[in-house]
Amino acid sequence: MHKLVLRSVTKSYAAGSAVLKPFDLVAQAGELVVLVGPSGCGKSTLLKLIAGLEKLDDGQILLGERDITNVEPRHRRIAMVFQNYALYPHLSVRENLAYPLRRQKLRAADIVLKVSAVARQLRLDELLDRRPSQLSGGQKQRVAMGRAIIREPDLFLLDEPLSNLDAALRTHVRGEIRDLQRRLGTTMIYVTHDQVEAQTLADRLVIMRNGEVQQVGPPQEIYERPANIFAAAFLGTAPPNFLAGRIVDDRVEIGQASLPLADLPGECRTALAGREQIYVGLRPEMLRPTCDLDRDHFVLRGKVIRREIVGNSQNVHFRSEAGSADAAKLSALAGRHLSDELVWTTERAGTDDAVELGIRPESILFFDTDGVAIGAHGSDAL
Amino acid sequence: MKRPLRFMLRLVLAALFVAPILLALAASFRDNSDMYRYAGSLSLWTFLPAEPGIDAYRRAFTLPLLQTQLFNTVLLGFVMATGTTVSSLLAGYALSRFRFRGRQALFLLMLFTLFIPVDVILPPLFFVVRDLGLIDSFWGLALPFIFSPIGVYLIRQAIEEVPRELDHAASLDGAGLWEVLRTAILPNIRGALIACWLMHFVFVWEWYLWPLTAMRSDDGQLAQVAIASLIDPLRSTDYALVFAAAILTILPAFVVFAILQRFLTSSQATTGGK
Amino acid sequence: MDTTIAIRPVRLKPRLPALLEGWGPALVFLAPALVMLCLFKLWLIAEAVYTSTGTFDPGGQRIGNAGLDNFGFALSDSRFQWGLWLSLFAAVAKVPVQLALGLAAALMLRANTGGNAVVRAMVISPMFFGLPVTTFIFAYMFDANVGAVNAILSGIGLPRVAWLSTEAPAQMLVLGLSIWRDVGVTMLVFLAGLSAIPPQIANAAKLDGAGPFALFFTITLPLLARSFQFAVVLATLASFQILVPVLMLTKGGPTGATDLASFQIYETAFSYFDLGTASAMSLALLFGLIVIIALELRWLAVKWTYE
Repeated sequence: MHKLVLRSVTKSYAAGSAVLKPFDLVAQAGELVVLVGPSGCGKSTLLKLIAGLEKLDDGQILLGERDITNVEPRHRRIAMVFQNYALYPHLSVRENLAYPLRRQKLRAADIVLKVSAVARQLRLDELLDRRPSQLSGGQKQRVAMGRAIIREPDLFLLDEPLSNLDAALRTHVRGEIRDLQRRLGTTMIYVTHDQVEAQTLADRLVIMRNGEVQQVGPPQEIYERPANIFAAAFLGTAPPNFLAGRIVDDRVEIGQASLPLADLPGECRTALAGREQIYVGLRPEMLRPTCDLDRDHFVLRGKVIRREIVGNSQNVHFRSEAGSADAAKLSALAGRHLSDELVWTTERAGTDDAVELGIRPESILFFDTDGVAIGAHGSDAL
Repeated sequence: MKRPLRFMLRLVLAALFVAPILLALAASFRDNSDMYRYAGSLSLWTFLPAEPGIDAYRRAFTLPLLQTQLFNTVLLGFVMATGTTVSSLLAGYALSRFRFRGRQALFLLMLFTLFIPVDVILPPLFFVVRDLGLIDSFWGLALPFIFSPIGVYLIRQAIEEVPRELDHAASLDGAGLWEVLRTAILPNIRGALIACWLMHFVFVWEWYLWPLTAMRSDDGQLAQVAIASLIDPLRSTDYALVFAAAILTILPAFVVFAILQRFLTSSQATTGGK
Repeated sequence: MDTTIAIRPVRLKPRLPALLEGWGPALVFLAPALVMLCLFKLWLIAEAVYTSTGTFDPGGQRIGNAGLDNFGFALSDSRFQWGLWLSLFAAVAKVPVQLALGLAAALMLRANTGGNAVVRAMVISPMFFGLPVTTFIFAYMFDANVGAVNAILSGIGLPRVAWLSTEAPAQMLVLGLSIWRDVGVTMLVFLAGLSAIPPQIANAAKLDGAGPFALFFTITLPLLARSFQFAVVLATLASFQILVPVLMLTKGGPTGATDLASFQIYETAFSYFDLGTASAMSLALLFGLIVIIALELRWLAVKWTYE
């Protein structure tokens, strides 16, 4: 098992346009780290730098005890699974699997043994004599995985390996990858733009935007304590409802609603004291009808615009007097379009025209006007 | 580290292809006596004119039929380019959009004719054109090559890339077969049409064997064939005159190419961004 | 009216109109190409077959049937046999050299830098001058008296060569001209092939441990198989079209060194006016060319596809 360390790695293509700003990352031995972010955030570039397929401008990469910064890709002992699998079209499945072993000049008998072992493990026995063009998407994916594990590398890199599969298969293969990684215990860096995939797989998540790390941590922790509006909006089925708020005396005022600072957890209370303008984020799934809450200091009243039924839950879109903040600015901070409608996700069926909702004070997310979270959050050491 | 080597290799490669052409260009600006005087020993003047002059060009203009023959080449270029492009466009449209029995077989048959080089089949071709009574005529030169398998292939491929939805939309708007071709397809294959036209235009400057065989009269001959008769490898050839005349011959092709090449790249850029 | 008659029995054999299904409107558009195809390709072959079975007077009038005698005469003629060998030799010499050079140039110039684009344009440039003018240029360069090549040879202390009147140099000159002219086409074919290789596949091979040599021989070269096939067929076809420099410069000589089959065909028809034999020779050479190309297509068939 090998630990991967990136020290202030930078990369730019044209002068002045940094693809990666100085970037630090530690993946512990045996850890599955997921790099996640919208397209163009630099995550694929980062993967290519680790693989050695592109040269970094500055910085250092360590894998285990070795400094691999200037090592040729073929000597890095890194295996990669590409988005389109990059199987060798002119070789059979058998030869695709054997290719890395042949390059290591292994004995023919050993190659046969290893290929059949991996083929059994990944249920490729029947397909060994086919060519890649004769395989289904899922089968190609398994061959690509097989080619990666067969040489027992020090590190796995996976670049959106599921994006070419259909939705049902994706969930299944996701589980298989997780199991395989656990069983082999090899450190893995996994790149995706899909937040569900990221949360379900990751030991730790790295959320990236414009070549910069936004937050690093276990998925649950990032969900509960996002470091900024971007991270808050990125994880979760729907982004939080962002509202503008003000601190007046010892209360937080959000439109008509207000909430005493005294009701908030300690570190949050001290961090909020003395500020004026803030943003609050209310996750749609955290909102509750006021009648369900024991204390209802904070009440959000609204008129229902439409209800969307998704399986056994409902997304209730409503407009509130509390009003939303400047949608354009928030959209920029969140890196995605935010409307001025509010959303409540609930499992209750309802047809009312009006809603009256509250939220537990400890579930409220607070941000300053630059979008940075207020109060201690779970950003651990990079 | 290896950079100078790579640079040198590219330089050598470029020189290999450009030096002969530059040498010919230089020869057209020298005097014959000048050429023979410096040929014996190696010096800069072996390659470059010691006293550059345009005497050779002046003499080329006084060659009795060169201007007529040059006109023949250019006219043939326009006729061949236009003829092949139009016939290829119509055939390509039918082969791409119409359903009829044997469509694929016909297309393959057309492509197969690519394997009949004129060098090999020259006598029978001569007999066919003679039977049609077209020997020694402009159309005898042109007609046998107005069907071009490469042109059909090129244009059929281009039409294949035009989405069929465009045809359907046009025919729902009431367009007939000709209007579909004119309004839905033509604007989208401009790049391929110009490429086809240009290719067959320049291709006429390749011609030698066919006009040598099928055109016996001097004033109907093509310029490049007439100039070739000035070369006699066993006696001393007037190379200055040959290259001056040759450069005058190529010039129209270059001018047309330079003008149309701009359309070629720009139309590719617009159709490429689907 | 009796409506039951409307039900017609199903015909089992397709009638002629069924075979011509859909031709109606297509014919209008196909007409120009089809007429030319029939006249100058199909009739051409028919004419070749017909004349090859006849005897002619010097004026070109058919005076009798010869059956297959013309073929027998041509193929048993030792000069024509030599010509066929020479044509085969031209293909065998030209194709590998041109492919190796074209591939080397493509590999060297594949990166899209400004400098490479200029060098690429230069390698292609001979195509724009036309074969006649290219031949003028070579005639001048290799002229025994005023040619630059001989000047350079004597300048560095080597003997001058009488390029057109010595056998091997004359052959080299004709082949060299053809390769020099066509190598750009081969390069373009390989450049297109190289750019069709997904970069991911080369990247995967690098991570799988392939060095530059392994990458070239196990990935790049096999993935160029289609370009290879295409380039070989084009080069073979071009190797049968080197008559122009022979006709213009060497006239089949010296002592038969460039006495290609196609040159003999030209001479037989237009100098000796032996139309029957010339047609038979044409067909024999065409048959040889098609056999060679069919064999190449078979040997170089590609069994895999992307996706």
